Amino acid sequence: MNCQGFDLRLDALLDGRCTADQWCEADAHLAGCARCARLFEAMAGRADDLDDEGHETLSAAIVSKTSGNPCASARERLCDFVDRQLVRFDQELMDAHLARCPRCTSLAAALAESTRLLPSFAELAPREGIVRDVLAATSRRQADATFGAHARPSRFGSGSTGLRERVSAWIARVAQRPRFSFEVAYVLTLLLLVVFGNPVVAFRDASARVQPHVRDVAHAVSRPLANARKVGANTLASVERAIRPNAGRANAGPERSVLAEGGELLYQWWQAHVVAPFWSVVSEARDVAGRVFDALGRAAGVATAEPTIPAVR
Amino acid sequence: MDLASLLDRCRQGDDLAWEALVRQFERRVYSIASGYASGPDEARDLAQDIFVRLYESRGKWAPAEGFTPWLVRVARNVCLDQLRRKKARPPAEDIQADEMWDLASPDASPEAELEATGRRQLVWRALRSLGGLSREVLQLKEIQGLSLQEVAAILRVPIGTVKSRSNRARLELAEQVLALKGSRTEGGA
Repeated sequence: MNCQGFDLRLDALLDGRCTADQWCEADAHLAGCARCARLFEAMAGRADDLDDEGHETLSAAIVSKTSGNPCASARERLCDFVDRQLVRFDQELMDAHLARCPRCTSLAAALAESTRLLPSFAELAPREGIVRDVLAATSRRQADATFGAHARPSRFGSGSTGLRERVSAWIARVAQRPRFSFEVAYVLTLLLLVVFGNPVVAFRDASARVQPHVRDVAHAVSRPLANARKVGANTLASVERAIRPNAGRANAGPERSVLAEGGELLYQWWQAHVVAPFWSVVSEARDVAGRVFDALGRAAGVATAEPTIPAVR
Repeated sequence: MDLASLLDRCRQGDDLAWEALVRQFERRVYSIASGYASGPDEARDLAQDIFVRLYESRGKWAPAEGFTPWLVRVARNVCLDQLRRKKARPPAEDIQADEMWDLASPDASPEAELEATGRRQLVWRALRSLGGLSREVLQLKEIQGLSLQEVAAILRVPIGTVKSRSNRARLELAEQVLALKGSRTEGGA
């Protein structure tokens, strides 16, 4: 047997399809031919000098020279793999890749962990509760009442005390609005311009021009205030007349009727909780309004005392 | 508490119902605000602004079944308005997440809590280091759990774009987690 004949019979030899005579011929040839002996060993898989790592490197080199780095393809499917959204075949492909790629494996682990943890950030607790601030900035209700720090000011409190509490509560609410500082700055700027004048020539005599308007406003406001006061006083007087206990009838006999006693109690309550607070509020409002208009008038007068501007008096 | 009834009562001006609503959504709103804020203080201010805006628009609230996505959308708009006013998005690099955000885990045992808090802080820091777009997609879809359609409507992009952006952001986050883990290990060694 020569080398050409051996090559032709090689497949049959490897598959075990040769007779004993053919094996003897082949053995005799292999004993004398180093080239065919190496070929036979290699084809029979007995000449493999690569270990697992060697095969791994070889596979990677082959893939790199053909389809390129498979990690990019794995990354594209990694989210679906973690979410278990891949079809079974792709899932197995990913399993196979991850079994041999530590980089993608650690990325998959980090992805799975972050996916698991992200929903836990849906609700975060601020270190200090913001409920109180939000309620103070929005709700009409006093935030303090919720937290029990102070008693809620009574909406039905008597006279000027109730009014004062309501006004301070309103101011507190307004002051806590986010834009409050801008609004205050705006108003103060306007006031400063009106009271002290403006360096711009066109507005230099603004305070002098404003004084008559202040007077007009004071006049316009004082009339409805007086009317309101008059109407309120009339109403109080008519109610008082209606509920005033009749002294002659009430003391007519030793057996005062329950009705008369009730009427007297009602009258006392009316005097203490309606009439007195009403006049207190009216008096206070009149004083405040007077002081405000006096101050505005004085301020305008001072501003107009500049030598170039004639005093408006 | 039934959300539909709560919303109805709030619309009618019931202050107690409003308080309950604030308490119910405070943490969620704060979480959304945290996604846009540069620190807890700013997040608190943003959360307040969101609730104020919510209170002022009581007549326009979405019905109960779509309230949460609608709330997320309002919260996002308020945050973006505020950021526009500041004319800058919050710089992510200078955030010391470990020190500034309270991410304590509600786990039972102290050891488990410590470990869980450490993991959460790692992910939180990684999240804060992402770009605005990636962080926003993660905030809406993965954190707040909105559907692809809802996120697409909010961001005004096709659903496919949301999906791809979300996947990309998740991978970025995972890579960032690995990087932070690596730096922590090196620092510890």
